[in-house]
Amino acid sequence: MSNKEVESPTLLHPMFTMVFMFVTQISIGMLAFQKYVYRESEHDAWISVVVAGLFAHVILFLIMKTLKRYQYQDLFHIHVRLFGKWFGGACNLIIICYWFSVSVYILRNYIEVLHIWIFAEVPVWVFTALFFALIIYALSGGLRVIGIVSLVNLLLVGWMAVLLYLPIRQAEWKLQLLPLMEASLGQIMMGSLAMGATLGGFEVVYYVSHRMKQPHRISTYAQLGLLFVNLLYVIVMLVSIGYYSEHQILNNSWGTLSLFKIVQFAFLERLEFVLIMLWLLIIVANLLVNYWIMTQGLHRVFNVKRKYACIVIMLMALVCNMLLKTGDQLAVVSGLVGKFSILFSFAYPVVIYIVAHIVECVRSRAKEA
Amino acid sequence: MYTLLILMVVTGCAESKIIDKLGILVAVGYDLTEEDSNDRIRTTVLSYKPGATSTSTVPTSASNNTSKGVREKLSLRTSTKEVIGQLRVAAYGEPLAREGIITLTDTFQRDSEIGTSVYLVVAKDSAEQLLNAKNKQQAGTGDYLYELVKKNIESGIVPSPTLHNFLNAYYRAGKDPVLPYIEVRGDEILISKLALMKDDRMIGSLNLSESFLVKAMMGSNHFLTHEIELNTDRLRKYYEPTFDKLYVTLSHIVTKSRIKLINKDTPEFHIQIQMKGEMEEISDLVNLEKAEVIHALQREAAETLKSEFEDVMKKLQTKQVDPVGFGSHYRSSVRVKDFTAKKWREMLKEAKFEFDVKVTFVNVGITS
Amino acid sequence: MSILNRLHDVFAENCQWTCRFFSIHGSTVHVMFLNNVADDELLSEGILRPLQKLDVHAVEQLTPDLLLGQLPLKKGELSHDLDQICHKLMLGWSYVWIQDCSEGLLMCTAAHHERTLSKAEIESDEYGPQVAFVEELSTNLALLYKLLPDSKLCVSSLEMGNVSKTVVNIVYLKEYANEDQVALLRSRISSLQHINGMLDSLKLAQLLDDNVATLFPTMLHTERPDRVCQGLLANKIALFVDGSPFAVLCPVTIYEFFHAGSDMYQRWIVGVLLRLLRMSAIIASVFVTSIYVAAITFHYQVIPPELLKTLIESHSKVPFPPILEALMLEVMIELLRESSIRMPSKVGQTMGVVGGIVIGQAAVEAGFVSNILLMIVALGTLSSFVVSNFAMGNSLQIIRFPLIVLAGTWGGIGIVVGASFIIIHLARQTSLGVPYLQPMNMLDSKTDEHSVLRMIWKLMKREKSSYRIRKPKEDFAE
Repeated sequence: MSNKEVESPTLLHPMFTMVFMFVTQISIGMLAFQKYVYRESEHDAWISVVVAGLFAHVILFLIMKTLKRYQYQDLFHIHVRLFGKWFGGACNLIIICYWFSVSVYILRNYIEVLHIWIFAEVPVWVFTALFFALIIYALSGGLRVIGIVSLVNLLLVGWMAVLLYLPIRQAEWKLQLLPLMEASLGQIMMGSLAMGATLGGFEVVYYVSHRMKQPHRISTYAQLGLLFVNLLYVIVMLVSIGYYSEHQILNNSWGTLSLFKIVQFAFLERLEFVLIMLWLLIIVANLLVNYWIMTQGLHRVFNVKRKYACIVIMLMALVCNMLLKTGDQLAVVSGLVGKFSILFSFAYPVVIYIVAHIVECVRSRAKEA
Repeated sequence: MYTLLILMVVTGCAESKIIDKLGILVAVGYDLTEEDSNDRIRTTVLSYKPGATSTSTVPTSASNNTSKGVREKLSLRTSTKEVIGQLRVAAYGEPLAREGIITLTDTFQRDSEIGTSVYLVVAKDSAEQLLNAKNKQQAGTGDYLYELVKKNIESGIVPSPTLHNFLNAYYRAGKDPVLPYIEVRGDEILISKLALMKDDRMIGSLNLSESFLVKAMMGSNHFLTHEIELNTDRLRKYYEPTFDKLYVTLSHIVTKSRIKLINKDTPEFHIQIQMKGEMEEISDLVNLEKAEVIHALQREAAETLKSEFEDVMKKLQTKQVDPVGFGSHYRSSVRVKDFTAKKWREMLKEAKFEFDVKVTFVNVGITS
Repeated sequence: MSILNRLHDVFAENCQWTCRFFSIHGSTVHVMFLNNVADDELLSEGILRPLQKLDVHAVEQLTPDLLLGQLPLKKGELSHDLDQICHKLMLGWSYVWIQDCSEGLLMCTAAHHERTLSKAEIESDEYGPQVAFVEELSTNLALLYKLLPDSKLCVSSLEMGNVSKTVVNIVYLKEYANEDQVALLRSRISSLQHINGMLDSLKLAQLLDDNVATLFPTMLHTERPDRVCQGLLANKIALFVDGSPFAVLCPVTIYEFFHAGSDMYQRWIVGVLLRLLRMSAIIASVFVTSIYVAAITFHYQVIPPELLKTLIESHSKVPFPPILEALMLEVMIELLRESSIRMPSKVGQTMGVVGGIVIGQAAVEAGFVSNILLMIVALGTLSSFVVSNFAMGNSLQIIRFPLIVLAGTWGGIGIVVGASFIIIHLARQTSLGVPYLQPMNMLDSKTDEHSVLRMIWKLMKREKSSYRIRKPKEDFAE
């Protein structure tokens, strides 16, 4: 083989922003968000979903503003520029911990689904190792590979959305959705908060933006991606409200999966099994993005090789996954991660935006003086 | 490149469930046990067994306190591993159904293996008897029950009694489930009526024509045929009656109903029902060439149906059950906080129903 | 030692070696060639006859320069380099040497053992140019020039192989193809000089691959000139190896392996539908057996009741677990395929009968495999034949096996993990540095609109200006 190789294109089409947003937002949350939102705002839950979505759009706008100010550098870089090497590094570490908790939460919850539905007797570490084998293989290819894998995986799972038609046919919208706005504003907001935990993940643009061609186009694609995700969530929520009755939705921990139980074809039925299996693709794509961000962060903070960073994270994740043994432990952790998610997806970008604004103003004044 | 493959094979394979090594349950039946027994519930299962010549279903029974705990005992009676993922029909004996079945359906809902399109039925006397019965067609009882209920949902008087529909109605404050009521008469298995459920308890039944009317009120439906008795008094001027009564039979019926709450306080409902069908048979010789004759017949049919609807509603009101879901309509049009089934039952007793029935003969066949 | 003696030494053990001499004008002229390798007619008409008829009185001194003017052949040169002379003689040239001269004449008398142009056999198609490449490089290039007579068409020639001395041509369109990719290709080829023999373009393609450890071909070979032209117009580079009837196109994405030339010549709706059909057939051929195995072994829940009874009955007679049953049948089909390729075509018919009826029917009746599985495996195999590119077809056949094993041990999860692995693997591959799984038009807006599905010709950006006819659409037609 020759030594002189063409540099593989390191920059991606800005459309991949959309893909990354999709896979980080639709992870395990898509399978089981109805219950938590419905608990707060009852049959107006879909309004909560819409409200949370609108909030997300605003936050995303702020994120894009911040990124533009820093020429689309990633958040790790921004932290260092804002807070200096030491404090910025600490912030980066916190961010990495957040993504770590999210990745554990997603993987462990998915394994829980596999346990409930398909293989009850297979130990957690086997599944975890399986995922990690796939992740290491893809991660070594860099963001370009992750992007393509995410795109293909999304397309492979995306067609399942068409099957929602069958529960839609049985849904009684009129009886279930009316009267509108029966929940109080407070309830709707509480619902939105619950939804926010699921919707988190769009801050992925913070990390991938510097790897895109034509960064000025990212904003459009990001907003578009978020819009699609929001629409999907609203649709699934509407279908669930119409299809289930009041207490049924609260009883069901995996609302979206149960929607697919009634799908029947001449050669295949119980499509929820198919959905669970295909969902593995989404989970893989999601974890890939998570692990990519973490390895990038560790590489930045400690200047270690990405390879070793990745292995360290995986060992830690494996231990965490195995420590979570029962469903109720998992529920506690999930609740906690949900709160983190709201904090880091919705609150933190605002903080960063304001801090960046102040710091830059002060700095430019100092320069002038 | 194949490290992954090797990894998977080395870690061993998951527990396999090869279909011909399984006893696949297609129907289960639950009954109350004899009073002197320690156990609470007697379970009968019907499962596919690949036989030498053909695959047949074999019933097995055992008793226990919980419906799933009984598996332990059942497994002592069968050579294959019993699995429940292909369950199609769950039958409840009438005595059990009168005591309540929610704990038994709850386990279905909890079990990820079971789909939500399982049909729930009430069996006269005992489910064990039903599942052991032989039918005329010599088909497997499980398959036969499934096909029987399925056909009658699609084009008959049975509103869909799937697990999902049952739970949907059960968990909804303003609606009650109805289940088909299946009898064994000699060597015949048949749906004889509908069991009216109040929450999860059977409290009465609807006969065939009542069932038709109740299903007609539930949104849009298709029926294969229905016979309507007409009052002959006002029809005398159109034909020479040979018999005292006049019947018409409609086929390929499409019904549409619209329920509207017109008074919140009473409450009062306005129910508009449109029924379209081909008039296939009339029990007397009537010249149908004139449009006015057909119109008169349609009017009479509507009158008859209207009074029948009113009778059914009175019956439902006295029993305080609401299979149609008027409560849901009430809830969706009135902003009431903490709407409960208990409150609704009180209101239902006082509720008024106003029917507006419209019958249309799409055609009268190829002769006139 | 004279050149003559040295040549005699070199070719001492070659029985084709012939040396004739004439005495002209007092000096001896030697004509050396390899019998049968040099063309008899060219030799006698172009060298021997003119030498005999040479008007000896018109010249004072016989020199190589003078002879070169006298011999009516299209190529000839002066040479005294022994290596070069040996090489050319091996190619069928003749060496004319005048005694005691330092230089001799190399004349091209090479015989062309060329088969006539024929229809494309491997990539046969109903529409489009039917001609296929042959083993002769110059003919292949001529075919190409006929389709793309433009000065932008660049052909650069390289020689490789210590022994085979094969001519390799890199063909591309200037301003279309990426210069970096051409340079990369050239440097890769020149780093392969140590190789002994370069007998076919497929071997070259493998040596030029970005990644050795992949099952999938990352360079497309084709025997159709029109396919090569389509590739060249879509910014690709073509490689021709003398003696190989296949051209190699690179860089390519995986989607292009599933194209057929005629997609482009059909109506666009038909073209799109055919591509969709082909894509779904490929997915079916890879996954259908493993899905069956997974459903039967683990996921009895997903089988509808109508099908369940049939499946139970058909499998209950088989003593093996489904995974073994499926692997057995797949191996059997592979054997059939392989043997039918190697067999002479007349025996092929018998093979079909033996394979189809005897093995299939008998295996079912003996209770070795279930008839539903037989049908499913047949469906998978049939679907795999829609890929016109046999290198890709073989790769797809092979990945079925690990998938079946995964399905038999881990059910649907196994299949999805396998699929995920394949996707990641494909995503990691590059062809000349171009991502393999990524549609071309996502990389660069002006490369290839046809990569996954095909575009309507008229809507294509590049073709737009030439023939886009717009009718004013104000109302329905009268």
